Amino acid sequence: MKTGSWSKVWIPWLLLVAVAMLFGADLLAPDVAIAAEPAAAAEAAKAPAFPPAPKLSAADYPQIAGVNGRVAVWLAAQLHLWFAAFVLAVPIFVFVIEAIGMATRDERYDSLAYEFIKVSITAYSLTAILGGLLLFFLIIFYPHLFQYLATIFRKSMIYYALLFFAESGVLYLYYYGWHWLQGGFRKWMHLTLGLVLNAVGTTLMFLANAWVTFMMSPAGVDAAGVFSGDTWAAIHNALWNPINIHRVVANVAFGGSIVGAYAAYRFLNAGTAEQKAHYDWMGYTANFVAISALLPLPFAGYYLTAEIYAYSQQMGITSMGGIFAWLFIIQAVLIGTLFLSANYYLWCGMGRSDGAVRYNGYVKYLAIVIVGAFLVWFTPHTLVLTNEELKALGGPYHKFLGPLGIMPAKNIAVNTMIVFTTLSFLMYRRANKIPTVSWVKAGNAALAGLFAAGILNILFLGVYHGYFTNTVYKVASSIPQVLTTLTIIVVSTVIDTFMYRGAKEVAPLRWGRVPDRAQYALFLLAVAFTWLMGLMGYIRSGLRQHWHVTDIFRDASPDAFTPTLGYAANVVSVGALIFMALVIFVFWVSQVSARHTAAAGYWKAEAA
Amino acid sequence: MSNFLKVVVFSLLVIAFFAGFSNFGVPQIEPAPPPKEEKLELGAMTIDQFVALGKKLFEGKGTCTLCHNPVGGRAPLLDRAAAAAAERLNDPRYKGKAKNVEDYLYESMVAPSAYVVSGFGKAGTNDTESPMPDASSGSIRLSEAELRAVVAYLQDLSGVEVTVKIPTEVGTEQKAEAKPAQRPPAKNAEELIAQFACTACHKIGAQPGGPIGPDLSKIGATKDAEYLRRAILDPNADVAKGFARGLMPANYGEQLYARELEMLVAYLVALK
Amino acid sequence: MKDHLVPLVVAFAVCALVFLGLDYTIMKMMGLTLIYQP
Repeated sequence: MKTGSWSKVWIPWLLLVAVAMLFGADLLAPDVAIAAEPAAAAEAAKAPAFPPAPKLSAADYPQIAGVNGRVAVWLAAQLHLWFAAFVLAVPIFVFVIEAIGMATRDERYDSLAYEFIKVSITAYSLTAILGGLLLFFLIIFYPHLFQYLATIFRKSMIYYALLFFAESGVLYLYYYGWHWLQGGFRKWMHLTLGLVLNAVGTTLMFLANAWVTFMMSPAGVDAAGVFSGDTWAAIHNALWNPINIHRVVANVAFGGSIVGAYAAYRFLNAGTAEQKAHYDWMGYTANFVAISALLPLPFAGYYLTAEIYAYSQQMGITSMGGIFAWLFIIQAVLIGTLFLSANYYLWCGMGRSDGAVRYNGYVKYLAIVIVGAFLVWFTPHTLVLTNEELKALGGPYHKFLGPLGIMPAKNIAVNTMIVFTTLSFLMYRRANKIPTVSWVKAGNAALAGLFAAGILNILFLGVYHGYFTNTVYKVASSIPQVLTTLTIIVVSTVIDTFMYRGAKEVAPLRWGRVPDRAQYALFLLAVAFTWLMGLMGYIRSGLRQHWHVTDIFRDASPDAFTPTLGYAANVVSVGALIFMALVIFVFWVSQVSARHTAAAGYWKAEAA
Repeated sequence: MSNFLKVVVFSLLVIAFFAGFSNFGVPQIEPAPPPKEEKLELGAMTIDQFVALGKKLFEGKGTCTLCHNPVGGRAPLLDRAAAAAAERLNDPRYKGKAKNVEDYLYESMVAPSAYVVSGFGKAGTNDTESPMPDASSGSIRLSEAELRAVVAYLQDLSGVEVTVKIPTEVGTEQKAEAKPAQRPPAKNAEELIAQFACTACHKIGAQPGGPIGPDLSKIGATKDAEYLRRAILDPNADVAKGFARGLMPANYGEQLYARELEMLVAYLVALK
Repeated sequence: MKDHLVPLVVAFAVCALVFLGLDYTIMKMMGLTLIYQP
């Protein structure tokens, strides 16, 4: 099959896959389709009525001496989620990298893809182990809650369990058959397996997301918690899709950062220049994946929060204006760390190219803007003051810094950070290249105009609508603001890609020529992503406060209290440490199978 | 090996920084504990116990301290509330119906806009509308007895005589003694609008109104009586474009008398 | 200098118009105007 005729294969293949998915979806979720029909609702009405949510007391929660059931469930859930995010993310970018390899016929991509999946293979069983642990802890410590949820979601739980056969089967074929399914038609089959792996994994996550979002924004039940029988209604609750989107994107960002940390470590320990070059390239690719997913992530989070507000004003206000407000300041610190770290890695990486010297002067301006945006991003609205300070200041808000604490300033800051990170990235890509197209001047002018006009638009929307109009306009203006940023990213990438088609290299890119501190930027990225995910896991669950299922099923356990931020941060930190230890184990195991010890004199001498 | 140690130490330091910032860099707010469904043994209570119950409610279920605290600046401090009440009753800005301190304090919880302390009104209302919700309904939903307990606490806090009599019944859903007398029907639409503080969210004609709900100044020109009636009784059935759901109270059907509803609808239809 | 300035100004003007158009359209879709009308 010649490279030039690949479009003849891609298109029919894509059509085949689309058709298969349509049928497959139908097979996988017949109940979903049935539940939506009115006939089934009548059938459900004839069936025995579902019980209301139980009213529990502290005695209904089993206690085991020396074990804090709530922390046990919390840690098991968070660890499971960390690993699940990882094993869902890896197949996504492995699929993309394998496809790129097939399109360019460059075997390095295929080897890289294989290496990514090899590194993560042990993580799959750990995900399952932790999922089982979570399940056991739920049944042991929260039996009534689990029974209530299982009653409502029993059909989806059966599918969930059965889907693991598909997940494992496809995964083993995909991984173990990598070198068998090579060339021609076999390679297409292999790529399809990768696609199926992603589809099954995503379905699994969507099902589990339904259970957890139901607890936050229940649907398909009445005020007493009596289930209507409509599983699809319970699945399709208000926060289901926002969480689905957010988790898919966040998984990729997180997964990329973990693999990047692996590559960074291997780089530091590399013995030969060739190894250094390979792991430098791997780290760069992983970081690229992580940052590409990081850029749209704030928007997914914003959508999720908007839906939380739409579902329940009180929940929304509690999260950002109430007791959890300071948590989002901590989140701001973490996100700032991510952006600074990612940009720092890019700037360090410019040293790989000889042509980067031309752009070195710009780095400090980018740094100033990004650090400035971060400072605005993390400025709180209300200051923590003593009574004397309050009197002196005349209120809890600082005259100049106070306005930086509210949403319009935050939106300007985050959009600015994203735009300037894009700029960093474009600069990195250009560093080693000399364009050969005829329209370079026009192209650069277009880019400059795009960024300048876009940044001014972001400022205009943020400042004018944010401070000189009313709440409705303020919130609404954030949509075009976001779209401006997305437009800048997409259009600038397109222009830049075309402008550097067939570009000359200043000198070959020297993979491996990057300082060690750049690798620490990758470690920082991985640790910060992990901790941030833990913090966000806490807020998602903590937002329910003393409800198992919001407004329907109260949490009457002795540990129902909403903890202080310090307490939550400590639990998250312990979890992060356990996760790091397990991940180190996962990476180490992936190396161990290649090691052979020559055990001289151990085995019986062979018969002559 | 040393690379391994360096990376581990680095990661531990990073985690320690985040944990440290969360423990020492931000205020450790203790969120309110889960509400306890307690049966109020009213018959056996002394007045001191009743006052203590009021304090507990003030700090807990009533969510009063969410706004009435020295940090937020969102609501007046209440440590001298009962003492100030006597002056307020004679203040020309007072719009309520209370005749004594106890009734004033009670009214300030269920009809907060009766008197808005200077500087604490909703933005743009010139201190005529209070941002405080009705503590007897919505998510706070204090019962009759609980409201009286909070009044008793506020009187005690200010150092004045506690005049509240401990009620014999809890009185949750039925507002049997809700107002000193059953609310007399409003005489005209303007009175109704003032009583139910519509302008807290809506601009209506010449009266200033908040931007939370649609401007009703010329609503009769675009909407008919049927639409307006439904909008009052079931606000979430058809939310105006650009406005949020779930904000307008959905219980006016239970609060308005039938004649008042028709009067209000006729008034709005005439706003062209 | 002018050689570089003209395409830049043109590009900026075009992009600014496009962005304002985007703003106007999105706000209109939400039932609002670009300039605040209380």
